[in-house]
Amino acid sequence: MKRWVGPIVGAVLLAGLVHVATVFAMPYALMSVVMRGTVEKAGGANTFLHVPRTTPQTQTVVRSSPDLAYSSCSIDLSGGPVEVEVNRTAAPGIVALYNGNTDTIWSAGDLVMLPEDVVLTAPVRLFITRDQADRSPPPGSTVVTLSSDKALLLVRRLAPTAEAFAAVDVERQSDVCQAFTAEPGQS
Amino acid sequence: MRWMIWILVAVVGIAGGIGSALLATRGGLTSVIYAGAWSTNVNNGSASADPWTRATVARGGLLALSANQAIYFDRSTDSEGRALDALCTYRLSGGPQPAAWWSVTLYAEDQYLARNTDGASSIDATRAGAGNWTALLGPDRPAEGHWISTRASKQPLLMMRLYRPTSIAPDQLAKVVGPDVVRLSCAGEKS
Repeated sequence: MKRWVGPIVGAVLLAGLVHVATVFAMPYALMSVVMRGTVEKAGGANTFLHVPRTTPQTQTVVRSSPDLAYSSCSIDLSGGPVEVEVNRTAAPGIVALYNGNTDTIWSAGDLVMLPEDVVLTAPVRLFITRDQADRSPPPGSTVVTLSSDKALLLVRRLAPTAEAFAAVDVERQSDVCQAFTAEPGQS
Repeated sequence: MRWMIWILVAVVGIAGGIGSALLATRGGLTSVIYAGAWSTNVNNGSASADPWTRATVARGGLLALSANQAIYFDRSTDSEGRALDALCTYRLSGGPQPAAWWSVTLYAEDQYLARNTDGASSIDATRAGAGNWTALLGPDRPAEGHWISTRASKQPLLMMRLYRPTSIAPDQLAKVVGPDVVRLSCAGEKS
């Protein structure tokens, strides 16, 4: 019996370590799949992917909402800062940045406006960078500094009907997610 | 022979670790606040979520909005506590919710929208209007009225989304009165 004590303790310890490692790795693995899928479907990083209206036939992730219009952009800062512009005349929306373990790094906007809200229709402009001091952001941009090169930008707009979705879809074609190129004369 | 024991230890340890991790995070949006038969977890998307909650949410509700933007309630049983059955017909009835906008969506047991072509996955505040409402939940499209199709699922679950909830305080969320789900009939049953 004594000869089994060591192996049993070893198995329990190993199971505990593997359990913790699996739990920690799971969000990273799932986000990696989503980011890779976004890059492949959009044709590259730092490019918007405008997802068609969510139906049972077009859904790509669990529990996707048929009420919302989704746009995503896989952010890659390895080549420098990225600029983002999200229009919101057709419908308000939430712009959110997630890091590799699914935590929300930054978000702004609302899906639905309340009567007392001041309705903001100016585009959301972001300047996403690893180092706030490395370039001058375009005027009017909110600077978001990341601690890693990769993140996922997700834009959600409420579009519960075919008509609402069509209006959002027209407007979002002019949204921008691209590597930042400084204007001549800018540092 | 001793090396065989340690190979067994490695196999048992790795399998046990992965298996227990999957088991510990299988609950979709884990249920920490109950409002009748509806349950919710307000840790979605939060950096303070512990690794187990984060992994659970990643598996069951990846990239969920933060609680002040959206609260997600789950329900998988009828008014008598029986698991929802896609072959049965239910009356779903409710009223306005404490949020700027709401929706109730049906998902199949694999957490994806039931893969049917009925165009009837959900009901929402826009279609239900401002007052009390009812909808039928089941495999057969009714002659009139709101319908949520259970086709292409077996044991579906419902998710209620509250966008811009009035409050995210746990004691207030516990008072949310979500839609009731009453079983009317089941395939093969005499009505």
